Amino acid sequence: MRAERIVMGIAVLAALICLMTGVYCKYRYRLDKPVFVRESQILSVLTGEKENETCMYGSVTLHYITGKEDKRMVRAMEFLLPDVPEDGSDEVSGPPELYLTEMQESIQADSQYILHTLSGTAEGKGFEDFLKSSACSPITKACVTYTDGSVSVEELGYLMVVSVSRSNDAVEMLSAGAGSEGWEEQKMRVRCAGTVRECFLAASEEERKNFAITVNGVSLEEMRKGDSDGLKLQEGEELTIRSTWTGEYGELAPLEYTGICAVFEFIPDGDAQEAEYLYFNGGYTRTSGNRFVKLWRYLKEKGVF
Amino acid sequence: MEDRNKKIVFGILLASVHISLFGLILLPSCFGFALFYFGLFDLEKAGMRPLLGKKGLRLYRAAAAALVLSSGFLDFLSVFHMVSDYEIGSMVPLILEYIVFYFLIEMYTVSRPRLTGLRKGYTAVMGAAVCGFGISLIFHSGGWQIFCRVIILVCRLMVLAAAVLPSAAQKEPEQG
Repeated sequence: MRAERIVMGIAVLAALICLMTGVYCKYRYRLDKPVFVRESQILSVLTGEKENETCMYGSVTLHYITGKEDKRMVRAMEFLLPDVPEDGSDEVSGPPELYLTEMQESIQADSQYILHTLSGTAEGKGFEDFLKSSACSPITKACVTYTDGSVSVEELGYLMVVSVSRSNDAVEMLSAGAGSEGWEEQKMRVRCAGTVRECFLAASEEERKNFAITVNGVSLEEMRKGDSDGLKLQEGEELTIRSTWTGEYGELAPLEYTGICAVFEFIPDGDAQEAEYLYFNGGYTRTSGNRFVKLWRYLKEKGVF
Repeated sequence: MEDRNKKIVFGILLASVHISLFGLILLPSCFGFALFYFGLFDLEKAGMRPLLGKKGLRLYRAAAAALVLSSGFLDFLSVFHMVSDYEIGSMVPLILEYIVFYFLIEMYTVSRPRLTGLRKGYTAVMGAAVCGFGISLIFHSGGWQIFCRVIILVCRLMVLAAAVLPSAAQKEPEQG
C-alpha cells in the first residue's frame, strides 16, 4: 500500500508540473498580433475590363496565424508593389494598385493558435508596365486593414506576379509533372539557341534548404559557381527544371503545402529576340506531424513572442 | 450492491455521462461528484473510512469537496463560454479525482483483500493517464487527449467494480 501511495504521489506531482508548464506556455507563447505565413507562390493574372478600365486579376490564397482570443480578421488588403512606400498611409496611392477582393476566409483552431486561410481575387489596374519591368521583383508586403480598424504592413513572403497572356516565343512547354515523394518537374523545348540563367529564387536562405532545384540536371549552386554565363542550350534541345524536396528546414513550415518559386531568364543568342522569363513553381505536400507544434516552432523562429 | 455504496456508484456514473444540447451541458459532472461526495458520508456512517489520520481525513474530505466545486466551477464557466483554457482547467478536477478515488479503492481493499490487484492497477493506469493527459495538453495533441480520457473512463469503471463487488462478509452467507 505504501508503494502505491508513493506511485500516486509521483503521478500527482508530475500532473501538477504538467499543469503549471501548460499554464506557463499558454501565457509565455501568447500571440499578440496576427502573423502572416511566408509563402512563395506565383500569382497568375488575367486581363479584363471593369468600368471601362483595363484591369488585371488573379486568385490568390494566403495564410495567417492569430491567437485564440484574437477575434481580428482581414477586412481589406492592398499589396505593396515594389518601390511603393511601405508605411500604409495615404502616400500609398496612384497607379499601379493591387487589392484583394472577393475575400473568403476559413479558420482552423489549434489550441491557442488559429490558422486563417484567406483566399480571394487580387485585382488591380495600371500595372502593365510593372509586369514588364518587374519579372524578378516579387510582392513581399501588403498593407492590411483588420476588422477592428487597425492597419499594419505585413510580410507575405514572395508573390510573383505573372501575366497569363505573356508570350513565350523562345520556349515551348512540353509537360509538367509531380510526384508524391516531393518532386515537381517542367519540361520545355527551346525554339532557338540561347542561355538559361537563374534570375530570382523566391525563398529565404533557410527555405532554400528544403528544395534542390536542377536545370537539366545541373544544380543552381553549380550554375552559380561558373562564370555566371548560365546553361547553354541548342535549338530544339529540351530544358527540364526540377525541384526535389529535401526537407532540411521543412519541420518549421506550418502549412501542409510548402512551395518555392524560381525565375529563370532565357537569353536567345544574337540580338534578334528579347530575353524571356521562365517561371517555375515547385512544392511539396505533407500531412504528418503535430500542427500546433509546427505553428509554435514557426512563430518562435520568427521571433514574435 | 450494498445500500451504502449506491450514492458512490450513481455519482460516478452521473459524473461520467455527458449530456449536452446545442453546446449547453444539461448534466454537468459536478452533480455526479456531489452525489459521490454525499456517498462518502454514508460510508463514514457505516464505519468505512480511508486509512488516514485525523488530519489526513480532513484533507481527504476537503479534496472531495474541492472536486465537486472545481468541476462545478469549470462546468458553470464553460456554459457561458467564459473559460478559454477548459482543457488546462480540467486538470485540477482530474488530479483531485485521482487522489479521492485512490483512497476510496484503498478503503474497499481493507474489507475485500481480493481487490488489491484492482487497486494496484488503478494506481498505475490512472496515474499514467493523468500524466499523459497533462503532457498532451502541453503539446496540444487532440488524439492523445481523447485516448487519455478513454483510459480515465476505464479507471472509473475500476472504481465502480470495487464499489459494486460484494464484500467477503456478504459473500460468505451467499455461498453457504
